[in-house]
Amino acid sequence: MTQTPILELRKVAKSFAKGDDIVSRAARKLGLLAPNRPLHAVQESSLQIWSGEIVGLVGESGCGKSTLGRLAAGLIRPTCGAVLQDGKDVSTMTRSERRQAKLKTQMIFQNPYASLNPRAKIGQAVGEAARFHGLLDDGSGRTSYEDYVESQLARVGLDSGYKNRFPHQLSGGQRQRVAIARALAVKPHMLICDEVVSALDVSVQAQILNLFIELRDRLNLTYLFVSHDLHVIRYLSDRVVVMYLGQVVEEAPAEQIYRHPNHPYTRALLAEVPRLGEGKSQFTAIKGEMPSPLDPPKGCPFHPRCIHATARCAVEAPAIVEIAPGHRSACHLNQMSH
Amino acid sequence: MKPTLQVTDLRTHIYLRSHVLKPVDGVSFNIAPGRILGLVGESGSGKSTVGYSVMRMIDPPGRVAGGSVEFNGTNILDLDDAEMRRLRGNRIAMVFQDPMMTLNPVLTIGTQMMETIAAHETIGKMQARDRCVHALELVGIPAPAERLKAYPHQMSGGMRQRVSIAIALLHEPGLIIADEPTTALDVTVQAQILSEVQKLAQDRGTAFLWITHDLSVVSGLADDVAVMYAGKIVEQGRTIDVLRNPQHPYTRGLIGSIPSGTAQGEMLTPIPGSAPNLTRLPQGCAFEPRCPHRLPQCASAVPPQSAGTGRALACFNPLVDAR
Repeated sequence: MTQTPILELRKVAKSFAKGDDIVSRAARKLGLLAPNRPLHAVQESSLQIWSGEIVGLVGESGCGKSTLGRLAAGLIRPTCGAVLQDGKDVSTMTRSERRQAKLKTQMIFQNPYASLNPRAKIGQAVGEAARFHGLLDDGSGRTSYEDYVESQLARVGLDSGYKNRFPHQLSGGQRQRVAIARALAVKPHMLICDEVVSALDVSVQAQILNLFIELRDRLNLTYLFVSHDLHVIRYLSDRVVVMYLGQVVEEAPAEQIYRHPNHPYTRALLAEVPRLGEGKSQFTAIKGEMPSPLDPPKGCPFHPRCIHATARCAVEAPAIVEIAPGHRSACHLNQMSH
Repeated sequence: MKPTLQVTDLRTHIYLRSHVLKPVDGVSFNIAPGRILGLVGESGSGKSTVGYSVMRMIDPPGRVAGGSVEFNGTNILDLDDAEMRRLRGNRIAMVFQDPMMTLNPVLTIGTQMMETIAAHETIGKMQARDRCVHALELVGIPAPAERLKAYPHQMSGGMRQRVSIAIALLHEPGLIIADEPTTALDVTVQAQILSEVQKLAQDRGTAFLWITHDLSVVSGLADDVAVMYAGKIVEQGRTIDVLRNPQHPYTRGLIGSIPSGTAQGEMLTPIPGSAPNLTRLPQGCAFEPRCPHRLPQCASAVPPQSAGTGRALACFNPLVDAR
């Protein structure tokens, strides 16, 4: 753990501003319309990912987990803060360095039907990027394009016949395998997976999850796994990061966070996951809903819904601090108990 | 107690020019008042078609080809359209997965709720309004009187789903069919809605047919569970019995596929292959090609439903001691 992390997000924040048309711009100048408020999707969050690790990023919809994933993948640039890959700041890299860096981090999305070109054959989808970047040669000698595509498909459990098919001829699980093969075809070190199994049926979902674990062991990959599904995250992850309203509120090794969650939000979230075989349960709901990120509450983002909230929580945002080795949490209650 | 809904040997087939598809093929179950039945299956298993068949909302070329659906003792398949209209939305209500599709985006929820009342009853406007407020209260919407003036887009996904459940409740139906109603929602919101549903079943004796792909939701919510595969119920019984001691290989496969059923680091045991295509169903048991426990006879004959004590199973080679 003393080496540099494979990927580091250092105090990154991302806000989106709605584009103004000419009428609203004029109206704003005249004071007829309120000033344009940006939406803070991610607020100053830090994250370190070490080589070979599977990091699970969980949160409810709108908490900014996908935005953080996209920042990590380099698909969008942070409003402030820095993204470091192998210790180097991506924004200070030269063009060719950045291109290499981007290839090293690939992203896989939720809906493989939307992310695959419906008019391109599977073989083309998988092999094109690798051919463009001159990655077909795997060092062992010359590899033909066809052989390369076939070997990539074989790796995700699809036989070579699939390369001549179109996405609509495949089932959801097969399409997601193609998306994985495509991401792996450019030899990345790290995969960022955004809700990749959410759209699949449970029996197929299990096949894909097992494939992810197999591939990690075989190719020494590192994953950032973004999901709202706490079961999936627990099953896969070495370390879990919990986000709420654009902020990382807790971070710990997986077993630690599921056994001893610290932050009241994490505790409430875990309490509400339906579990198998525990018989009919009484659902105890956290009151209220997540506030709009356009109008986040002052102080701790969770305080309006928190059963332990104190006066301090409403004014001062808690900093994320280490409460046990590798376990960090952003809650004022931790300081009071010390 | 007499069941609210008794479905016997329901068959819903789709008649295409070249062949007949059988998305529901011989399904039987019943739900007593105040009970929640979880109907579980993967996509394409026919679970939603069962719900639509009970509501008589199957469009051509599909048609209910056989069986009976008895609601409080009357077979609703025998009713004429006008009689069915009086029942639908009144005594039997349905809640869908996506409330944005159910609610009209250009009408306030108050207007839409009043419309629902007016469709079945002639009562005064004030009285109708009170009933709407009361229904919204029941599903836990804060400040319901003001919310009546809101448009669907002004509400969050969870709130919208509560509104569609509130609309289903307006006439105090005996049966609510819910088709994946919490699938699109976050866990915290889902928990809120599930707790309201449990209260409704308990306090008002509403029977629920809860259609979902999520076994863990069913585990915490439903009294009974029926597992569907390729148009047939392969196993049913009390939720706790079925989930703790699954006897059909498919049920066990489903449970083995859920990450919460296994410890971290342990591999999941997924079901090999994928769900069968309805146009090319195997001759025998539909699960036979994927089944780790198949016998030679499974490929040629369809296993009959064996009804035990509150437990039904369709398998030639059931698991005796699961896990």
